[in-house]
Amino acid sequence: MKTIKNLSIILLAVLCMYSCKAQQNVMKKGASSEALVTTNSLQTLLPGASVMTFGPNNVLFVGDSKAGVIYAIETQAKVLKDPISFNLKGVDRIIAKKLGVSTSDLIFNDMQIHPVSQEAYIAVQRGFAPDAPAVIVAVSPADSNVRLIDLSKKTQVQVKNIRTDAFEIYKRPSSRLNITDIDYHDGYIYVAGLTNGEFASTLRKIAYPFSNKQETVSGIEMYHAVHLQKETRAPIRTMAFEEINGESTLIAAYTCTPLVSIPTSEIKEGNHVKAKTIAELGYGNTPIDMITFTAQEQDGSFDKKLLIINKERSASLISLKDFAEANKGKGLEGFSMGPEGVKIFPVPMSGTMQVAEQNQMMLTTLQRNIDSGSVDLLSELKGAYFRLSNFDSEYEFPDYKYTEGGKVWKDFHNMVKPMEGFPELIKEK
Amino acid sequence: MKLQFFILSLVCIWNSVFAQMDSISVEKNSVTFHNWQANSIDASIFVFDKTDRIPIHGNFYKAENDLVFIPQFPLLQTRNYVFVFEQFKKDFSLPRENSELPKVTAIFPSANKLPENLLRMYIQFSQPMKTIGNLENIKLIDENGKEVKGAIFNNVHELWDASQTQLTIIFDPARVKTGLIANETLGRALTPNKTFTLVIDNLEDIYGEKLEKPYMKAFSVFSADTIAPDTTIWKIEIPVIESMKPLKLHFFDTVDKMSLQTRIQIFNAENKLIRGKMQIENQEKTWSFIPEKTWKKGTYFITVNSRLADPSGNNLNGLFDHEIGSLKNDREGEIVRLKFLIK
Repeated sequence: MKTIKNLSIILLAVLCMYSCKAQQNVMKKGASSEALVTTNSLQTLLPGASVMTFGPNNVLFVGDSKAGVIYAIETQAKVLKDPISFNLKGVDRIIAKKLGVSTSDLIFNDMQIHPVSQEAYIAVQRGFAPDAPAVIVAVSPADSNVRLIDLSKKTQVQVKNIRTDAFEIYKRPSSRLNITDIDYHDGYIYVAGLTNGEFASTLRKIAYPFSNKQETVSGIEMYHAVHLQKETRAPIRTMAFEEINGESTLIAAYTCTPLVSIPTSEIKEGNHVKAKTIAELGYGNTPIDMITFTAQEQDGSFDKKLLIINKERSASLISLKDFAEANKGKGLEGFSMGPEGVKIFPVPMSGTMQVAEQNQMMLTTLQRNIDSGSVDLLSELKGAYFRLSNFDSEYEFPDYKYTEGGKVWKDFHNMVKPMEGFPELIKEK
Repeated sequence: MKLQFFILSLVCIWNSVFAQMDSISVEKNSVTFHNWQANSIDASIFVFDKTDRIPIHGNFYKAENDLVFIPQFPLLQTRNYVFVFEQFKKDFSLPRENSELPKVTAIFPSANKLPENLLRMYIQFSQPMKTIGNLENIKLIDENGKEVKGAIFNNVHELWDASQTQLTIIFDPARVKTGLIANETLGRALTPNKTFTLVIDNLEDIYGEKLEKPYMKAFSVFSADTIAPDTTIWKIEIPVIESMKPLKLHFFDTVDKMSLQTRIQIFNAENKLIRGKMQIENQEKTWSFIPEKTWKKGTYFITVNSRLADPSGNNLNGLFDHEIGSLKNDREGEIVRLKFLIK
């Protein structure tokens, strides 16, 4: 009897040992995919990534204020033609987890849409230290998958005139250019920025592909005539290139809010360029970002728009037809209370940190949710410029009945709801 | 019974994973667990962010007696981490380079009388600071203790130097310049013959530590500075031959601090840059330069980039707020050369 008892204990112990070890192995397998990631060979870090723009052949240009460098990064992308919307709330949490940090350790610098894959490319600084690196993540609207961009295939150029060379000799703190916008147009990258040492109106023009010839990088001085015939030294904040009345034109918003036009052909080294003030966007405000895109009007026609996202004011939507008309004249000269000069349609996009054209139907926005504090990646319909699901409207009351004339709204709401991730709220036709 | 206890103890030992180490060395891109000993190489091994329980991706490998963790991304000094090996846990963090609370060490212009068209100020800190969300915490207060709203230009990109210890603040240029809407409707933020205080509070360093205390700079305001810096009135104090005495430039008016740091250079007759150290004195009215080597007999040139400005943005080429066509040169940034002789 005693032998049987001892044997049973031994058997129990062996079973126990086996089961425990088996459990540990399961744990290991289950968890290891997350914890023991093989460090990938992809190069994913940049010294900094302040602003971005896509150029020819899907090249992503990244302006890095920290290093004073423009990178040109080759990107790989699968074609996506369907208009699939982004409904990714809390994209900051997903990115933070991917980078092994808290959301409070992330600084969102820019967002652009890949012209082929419709992926949102987001430039993020990881941490706050002077040497904190930046990464570029891509988020696909098709599956909301967040991936780190391989930055190994890139060329780069140092932005000239940052005046670092001489100061290293003297061991002095150098002035630093904060690159506020970059744009690619017809073989050149245009770089706008603001230094911490002076308030100068310098626009830089860099040939791409990058060449070693220093002459290819030219400093361009410009000024704009403001009221009472005074000139100003002011830096461009954000800009876009468009053909206006048959002429390639730089549209630029200054930090103290005039919206100006400059013929691209005049932007040459040594030229004293006089910009025409087309509109005044209103004081007490900073323009953040500017894009142009084609949108369908209610009557079915197509119109090219200029959309300016502002820090303090609602976004400004301008028809390029109106802009072109205003550009024919002398420009705004007298004293103005603003906003004026051209018809500006204010659109409710407050909280928008970045905007980019996603496809024929949609814009993509990176927004800071005022209630939750989270960063959301959301698509908005062109023409609407808002998200229905951001509002509690009477349309959603159970007893609400669309009137006969309101059928157009019902159709619109039914179209938008699945796009915003609420197909179950579609009301019967 | 003895056998039973023996077997049960064996089970316990078998099931408990044994691990120990001497110490941990934490660096940004590697964590070394010194003299690491464990009875299993097969167990689960993790590094987590301790607060948020976020797994920290990376690779482990054995290096002689040590276990080394190479994180995929650099560790941050702001976070606490935990190393987990089955039941064995060990907390660690990346040591901070500085454990003192951040301080404001200087504010430029350093004078306590400033013009109503003041464009720019520099705030210097004792250590690197966070570079976002600070402008809301820098306020201009009038004589009655009321905040002057919209005085400081709330730029989207804050203007920090590379070391993140100097912040440039700009008084809203649309209010400073005459003729612009903001100037016409709101006027300039600073009014002559009144006193204002710049208050800097709650700013955080890169570790999230707040300023030791609020900092204040009180200053009185005089009427607009509409005189551009002019090299023809500068006085050059020439050092003695074969000495290390400073070369001094007296401006008789305050010059912008960053301009003094970046816009003046000394060359010899062969156009070779003279190396040395520079100092700013006398409330930015004097620039002095001590060479690395003694001054030799000969001709020297002080080159001044005409972008050299005063704190109101007036530069060698003309006033910040100027009539069309009144600039000395269509191109900004021309070099002005001042000759001096050491004999």
